[in-house]
Amino acid sequence: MKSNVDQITLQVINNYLITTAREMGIAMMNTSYSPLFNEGLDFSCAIFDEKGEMIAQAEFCPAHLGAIVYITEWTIQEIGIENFKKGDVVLHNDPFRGGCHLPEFTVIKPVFFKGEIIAFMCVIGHMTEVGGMVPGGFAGDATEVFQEGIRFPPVKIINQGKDNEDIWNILLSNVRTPRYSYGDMKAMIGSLHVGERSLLELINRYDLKTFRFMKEEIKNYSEVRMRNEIKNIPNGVYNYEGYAIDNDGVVDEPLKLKVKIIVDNDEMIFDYSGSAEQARGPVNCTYGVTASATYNALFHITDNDIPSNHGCYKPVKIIAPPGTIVNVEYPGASVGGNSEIHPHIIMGIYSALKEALPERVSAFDGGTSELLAIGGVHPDTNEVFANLSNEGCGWGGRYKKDGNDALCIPNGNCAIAPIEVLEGRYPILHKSFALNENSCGHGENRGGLGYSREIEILSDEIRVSAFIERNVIEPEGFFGGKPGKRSGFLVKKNKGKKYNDMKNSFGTVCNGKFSDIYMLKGDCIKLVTSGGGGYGPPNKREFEKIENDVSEGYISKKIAEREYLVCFDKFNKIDKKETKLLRSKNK
Amino acid sequence: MTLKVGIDVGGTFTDLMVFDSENKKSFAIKVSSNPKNPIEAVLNAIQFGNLKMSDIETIIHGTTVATNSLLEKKGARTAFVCTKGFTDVIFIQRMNRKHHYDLKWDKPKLPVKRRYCFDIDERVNYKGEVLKELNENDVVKLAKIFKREKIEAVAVCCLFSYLHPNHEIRIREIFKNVLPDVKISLSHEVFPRWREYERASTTIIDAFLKPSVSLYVKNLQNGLKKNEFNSNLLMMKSNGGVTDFNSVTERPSDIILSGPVGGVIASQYIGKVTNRKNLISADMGGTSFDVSLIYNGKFARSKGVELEWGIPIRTSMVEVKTIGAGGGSIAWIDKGGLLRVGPESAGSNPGPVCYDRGGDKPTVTDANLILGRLNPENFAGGNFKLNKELSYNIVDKLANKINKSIYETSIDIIKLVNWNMVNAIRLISIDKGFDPRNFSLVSFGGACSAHCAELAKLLDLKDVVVPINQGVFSAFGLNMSDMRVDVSKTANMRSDFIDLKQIKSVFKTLEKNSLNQIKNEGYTGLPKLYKILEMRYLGQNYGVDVTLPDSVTNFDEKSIKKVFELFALEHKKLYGYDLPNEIVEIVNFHISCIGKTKKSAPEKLGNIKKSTRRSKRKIYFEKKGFLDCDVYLRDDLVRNQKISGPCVIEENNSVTLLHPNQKTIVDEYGNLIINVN
Repeated sequence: MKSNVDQITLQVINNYLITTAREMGIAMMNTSYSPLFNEGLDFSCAIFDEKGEMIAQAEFCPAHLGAIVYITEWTIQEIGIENFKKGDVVLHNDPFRGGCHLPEFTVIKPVFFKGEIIAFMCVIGHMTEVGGMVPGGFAGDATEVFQEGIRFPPVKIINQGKDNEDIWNILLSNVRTPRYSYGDMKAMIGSLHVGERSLLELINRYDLKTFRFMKEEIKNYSEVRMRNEIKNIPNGVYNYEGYAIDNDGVVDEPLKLKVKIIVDNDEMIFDYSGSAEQARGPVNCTYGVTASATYNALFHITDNDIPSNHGCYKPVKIIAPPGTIVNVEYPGASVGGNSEIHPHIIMGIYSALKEALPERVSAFDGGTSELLAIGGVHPDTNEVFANLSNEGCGWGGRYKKDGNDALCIPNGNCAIAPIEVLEGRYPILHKSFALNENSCGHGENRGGLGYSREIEILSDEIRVSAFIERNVIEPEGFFGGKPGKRSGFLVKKNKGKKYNDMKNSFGTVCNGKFSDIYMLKGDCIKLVTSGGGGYGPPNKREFEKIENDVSEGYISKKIAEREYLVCFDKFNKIDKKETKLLRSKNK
Repeated sequence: MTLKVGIDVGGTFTDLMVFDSENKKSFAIKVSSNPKNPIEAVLNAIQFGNLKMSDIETIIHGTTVATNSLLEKKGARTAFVCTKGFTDVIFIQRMNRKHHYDLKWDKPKLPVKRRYCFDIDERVNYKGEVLKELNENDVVKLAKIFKREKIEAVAVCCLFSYLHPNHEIRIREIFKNVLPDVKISLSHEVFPRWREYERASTTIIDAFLKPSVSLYVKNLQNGLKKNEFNSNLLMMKSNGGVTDFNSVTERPSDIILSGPVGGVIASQYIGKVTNRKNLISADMGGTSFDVSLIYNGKFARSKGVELEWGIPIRTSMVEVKTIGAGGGSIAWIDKGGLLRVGPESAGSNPGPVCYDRGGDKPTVTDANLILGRLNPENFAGGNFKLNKELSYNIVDKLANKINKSIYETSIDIIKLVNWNMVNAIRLISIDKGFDPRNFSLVSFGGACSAHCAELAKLLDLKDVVVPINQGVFSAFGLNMSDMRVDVSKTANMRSDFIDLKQIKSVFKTLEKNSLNQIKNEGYTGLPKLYKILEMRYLGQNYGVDVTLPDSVTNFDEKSIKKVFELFALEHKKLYGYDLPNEIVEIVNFHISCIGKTKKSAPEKLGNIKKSTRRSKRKIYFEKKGFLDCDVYLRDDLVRNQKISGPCVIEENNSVTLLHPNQKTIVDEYGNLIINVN
C-alpha cells in the first residue's frame, strides 16, 4: 500500500460500495418477475466511475463480469458523457457492442452530484423472453443475430426521469410475455435507484474529493494484488488445444478451442488464435464472453479475496481474432457461446496450467448449462408463458478433494427454481429429480455427479428448444483421472415406453441443440446432466472413500469393483487382501 | 411463590434475572457456564443466589442447545421420506455456490445420510389435487426398515403438502403404530410454505434436533424437580415469544434463536421505559455481533436463518443479523498489505492475547486495552486480570508491518471493527428504507458499550441507551417476554379476483388455530392478534409483509383497497417504485398471536450519592492522543446525574466509553442516555 493512503477509509469505502452492489441485487431478486431472476439470480450489479471503470461489483453471475466492463465503457463512448442527463437510464443488449449475448439486457444510470456525473450504476441481467424465433430466447440452430431476438443499441429508456414510451412500446410489442418483461425491466431500473440512493449517502458522509481519491486507490489496490498473484505463477508459455464444443446446432461436428497463455512476471497474455472459424450456429462467443471466461478462470486460480474491479483486469491481455468462435463478427449468432463455450475456456485454461498449478485447478466440470426453453399457452389460465431454465452438473475432482455434485457451471452462479414454483407456473409435471449415480469421472479424487430431471407435458402443445453441451465430448479427467459421463436430452413420446434421443425422436441435426420442437400432452422429457472429470488415478483412491460412495449409493458396488479394482466382503467393506491380489493380476 | 426467574445460558456465563413480585424488587445472579453440563450451572446459580425453589413461580429459559447441537452436528440418526422420485432434492439443493471463485469450497450437507432417504408412491399437484393416492404398503415397509436401522427421527416432506397435508398425516399415523418412540416431523407443520428444498431442510433439522432438545429439556426438568421445583417452566422461541417445555420438544426448529432473542425483547422493553419507539438492539460479545431492528415498538421479523450457508431453516423469527465481530475478532494483514479485522475470532478460549491463555493473535480487546479503554484489573467482573504487556507486544508487531505507531494501529483496529458493525446495521435499517436519525441504539453484551457511542455517531443515530442491567440483559429480556404463537397459510389470491369471503375464512381458521395453540402452550388470558398479509405484484416471487392496522377488522371493499395501498407504500419505501396499475397477489396469510404476561415495573434509581469512588485514567483518542479521563463506577451513579466525555463508566461486565464532547445523563431508572453529537 502507498503510505499516504488512509487504509481505513479505503476499506470502509470499498466495503460500502460492495454492500451497495449487493443491495441492488437483493432488490432485483425481490422485485423481478421471471424465475430466471428471482430464483436463478442470473444478473449482476456493478458500480462504475465517471470514466466507465468498474469500482465495485457484487457476486451474482460471473458470466457478466467481463462483458459488463466493455458494455459500460463503450456505451459511455458511444453516447458521449456530455449527453447523459440526470435521471437518464440507458438500455442496451447488443452483443456486438460488448454484450455477452442478445438476451443479456443492461441498464445504466448516471449518478449526479451537484450537477456532475460521479458514477454509473449498472445492472445486467438475462431476460427470459426477448422475441426472436423461439420462446425463451435460446434457438439452438439460429444462424444470425436477427433470429435471436430484438436488439437495442444503447438507447434511453428513461429520459431525465421520464419513461421514453416509444422505447417501452417497441420492447413490449416484440416479446411474447410483455407483462413479465415489463416487471423485470422495472425491477432492473428500480435496483439502479437503490444503488444511486446508497452511493449518494456515502458521498454526503465523506465528500466528493475523498470518494474520487479512494475509488482510484481501490482499483490500485486490486491491481497490485492481482499482479502479486500473477508473479507467483511460474513464467512461461502454457498451451491447451481441445474440442470446445460438441457441435454448433447446425452442423454436427465438434469445434476446436486453442489457447496459449504467456506468463511474464506480473502480466499475462491469453491468446486464442487458432481456435475454430466462426460457427454458423449460435455457439460463438462475443469478445465480452471470451474476456469474461478468461477473468473467471484467473479469479478461480488466484486469491478470491481480491475485490473485483477494474484494477484486476489491468495486468491481463486477451487476444481473440475476429471471425472465430471466440470473437463473433456481425451478424453471427451467439446466444450459446456465453453459456456453453465459456466453461470450456475456463477448463482449457486449467488444463494448460495444471502442471504448473496442480493444487489450484480442478479437472473438467460437466460443462453445460443444459438450457431448456419452453413456451406456449397455460391451459389453466390461458396466459402465454415462456421460460428458460438452466441446470447444474458435476464439478471436476480437485487436489485432495472430490468434485462437488450438482452445481451450476462456473460461468453462472444461478440457483435452479424449485419444482413447486415451476409446476405452479408452467404446465409441466415432474416425474423425478435425482442424482445420476455412477456419472462421475473416477479418480483418486472423483468428479461430482450430475443429475436427471424428468418432466411430463400437461398442455396440449408446448414449444421446446434446448442448448446442451457435453453430449458427445466427455468432460476430461486430470493426472490419470477418468472422464465424467456425458449429458443427454431424451424424449419419451406419449404412450411410448422408452426414452430416445432427439435425432431419433424428431430428426434434429444435433441431439443437444435444436429449436422449436412441438411436443404434445403426455410427452416426457429427461434432462441428464454430465458428471465431472476425475483427478489422479482411480487406484490411488482411499478405500474409505470408495466404501462410503458405495454405502451412500453414489457409485454402485459393481462399478466400484470395476473402476477402482477393489473387492468387497459381505459387509460391503473392501477386502484388502483380495484387492491386492486383484490389482497385482491387473498390472 | 412470588419469584419469576429468567435464565440465559451463554457460552461463558449463565445469567439469572430474578423478579420478586411481592416486594417488587429484582436482582441478578451471574455464574460461570458449564458447557459440558449447562444444567449444573443453572442449579449452581439458583443455589448461589439463595433462591428457594418453592418461592419460584415461573422460570423462563433461553438456550443455545439447538444451535449448538446443529453446529456440532450432534443429533438424531435421522431418516428422510418424500414423494417418489425426489429424495435427491436435498442433495442437489439449489445448485448455487457460496462463493464465486472458490475451488476449495465443499457443498454443504444436511444431517441425514443418503442411504436413509426413501421415497413413497404418492403425488399431489400445484392445485392441491391428489394425482396418486398414498401407497400405504410402502409406508409400512419403510417403518420396518427404520426399526431395523434404529432410526431415531424421521422427517417427511411430500411435494405440495402445504396444500394437501393428508398424506403426510397418514404417513405419521402408520409410523407411529410401528415406531412409537421415533420422533417424526412433518413438513406441512414445520413450514407450510412452497419451495420443497427449503421446506425439507427445515423439517430435517427439526427432526434431527428432537432427541437432543428433548433430552436437554428432560434433564433440566429433572434437575429442577430433584430440588423440589414444581412450577411453570417456559422457554424462549426464535419468534420472541415464550412457550412451555413440551411444545419445544415437538418443534425444536422454533428455538434456534432462543439465545439471542432475549436481548431484543429487553431492548423493546427499554424502549417503552425510555419512550423510544425506534431502536437498534446491538449485542457485541466475544465472537459475534447481533443486531435487530425495532420499529414503532415492534421488532422486525424474518422468515428464516442459515446457520450454515445453503442449509436454510425457515420459521417465523425475530430478525437478528449476526456478523463475526466481537472482542475476540482478530486483526491481520492481507496480501495487499491492508490491515483487516475479523471475521475470524479468538473466541473466549484461547481468547485475546491479554487473557494470557495462549492466544497469539491481536484482537479488538487487545486494542481496547492498549488505548486505556479497558481496566485490566476490572474485566469480566474481576474474574481475571488482563495482561497489557502481552497486548503491547503483539500489536507492536502489527504496527511495524504497516509503519504506524502502536496507538494508531489500535485505533485502526477499533475503527475497522466499528465499520463492520456499521455495515451490518445498515443492512437491517437504512437499506430497508429506515431513516437512522429516528433510531436509538440499545447497547449491551460485554463488549458493545465501549464502541456504542462511536457506532451511533457513524450511523448518525439519534442517541444511545446503555441499559441499567446490560450485563444480564438477555436474562432480563426473558423476564419481560410474552407468550407468542405465529401461524401462517399459503393461499394465492389476486387483486382482480378478490374473494372477501375466502379472506375472512382463512383468517378465521388461522385465528382459531393460533388461539388453540397458545392455550395448549399454557396461556390462560385473552391474547391479542396481529394479522399480516404477504403480498407482491403478480409475477414477483418474493412478497412484502403488510401488517393490517387495527382499523381493518372486517374485510370489505374499502378496507381491502386500503390494504393494497399499504402494500404499494411499503414497496415504494423498499425499492423506490410502485406499479399503480399492476395486479397485486396475496400469497400468504399470517397471524401473530401474543399473550401478555405479568412483568415487573422498572425500579427507580435513588438520588443519594453512595460514594464518589472516582479515579482517573489516561485514554487514547484519535487525533488527540492520551487524555486524562474520569473513571466512574456504574453502581455509584444517581438519578439525573450528568456526565461528560471523555470518560469511562465501569461496571461488572462492561465498560461504557464517552468520547470528548459526548454527554450522558442517567435517567430515573439508571439507564445511560448518551448524546453522541
